[in-house]
Amino acid sequence: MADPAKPGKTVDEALSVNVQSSLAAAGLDLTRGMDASRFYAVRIRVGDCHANGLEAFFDPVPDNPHHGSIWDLAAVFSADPDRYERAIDALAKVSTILPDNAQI
Amino acid sequence: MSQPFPVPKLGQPAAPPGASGLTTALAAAADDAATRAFHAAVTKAMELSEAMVVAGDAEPIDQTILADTVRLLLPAISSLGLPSPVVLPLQNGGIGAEWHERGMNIELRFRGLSGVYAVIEDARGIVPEFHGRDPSLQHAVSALQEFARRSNG
Repeated sequence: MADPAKPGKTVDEALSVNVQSSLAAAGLDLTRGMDASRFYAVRIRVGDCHANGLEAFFDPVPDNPHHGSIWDLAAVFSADPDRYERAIDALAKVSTILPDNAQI
Repeated sequence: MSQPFPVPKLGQPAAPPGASGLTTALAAAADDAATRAFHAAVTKAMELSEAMVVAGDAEPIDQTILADTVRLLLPAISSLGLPSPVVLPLQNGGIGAEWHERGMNIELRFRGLSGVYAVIEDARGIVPEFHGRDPSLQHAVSALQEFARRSNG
């Protein structure tokens, strides 16, 4: 998808996540693969994505069978940048930070 | 190992003509504690961004956006003696600066042409809540002045 502010440049169309139920089925930590010295992980519920007009679904990719996507952020940004910021705010407020090596 | 931070050390002479806005802004900055802390935070954000780019998790920070961020924030941070914000890369090359202390949540998101978006929340209710565009940092500076009063008082 093209970045409306920068012709010729593309933007990320979806926010990549790991799907909790998929990690659980594989017996993996929720923070699998995360460098805890640089990052923290949060839990975002599908219903909260839907409540903010965003799609969230299981979307496995070759190097990550637990991959999911939160879709429509780029479209929202293009159509209404302020709504995009409000959606980010809303997701941040309802997300919960996970402890390192958190289990289901 | 990250790429070297593409600015001279603070206190060095101003950058030559043609240098980036970021270079000029930081080179011309006062060499005070607040400025040094902000410089360190920006450096850390760039290192984090580079790690995310290597991992395929993000695009590089847009250098124009970074330069504008520093140019807009540095005068307030230096003159008010503010603690450094947490500086972090945002989606698609943007950059954020956040303070979460003293009962205040101040988030400034720089994303290029879409302008600065500010989130200002004050648990004490002294500074009005604000969520919206703040191109001249009018709301942000007002909140940062209150934040400085609490931090330095």
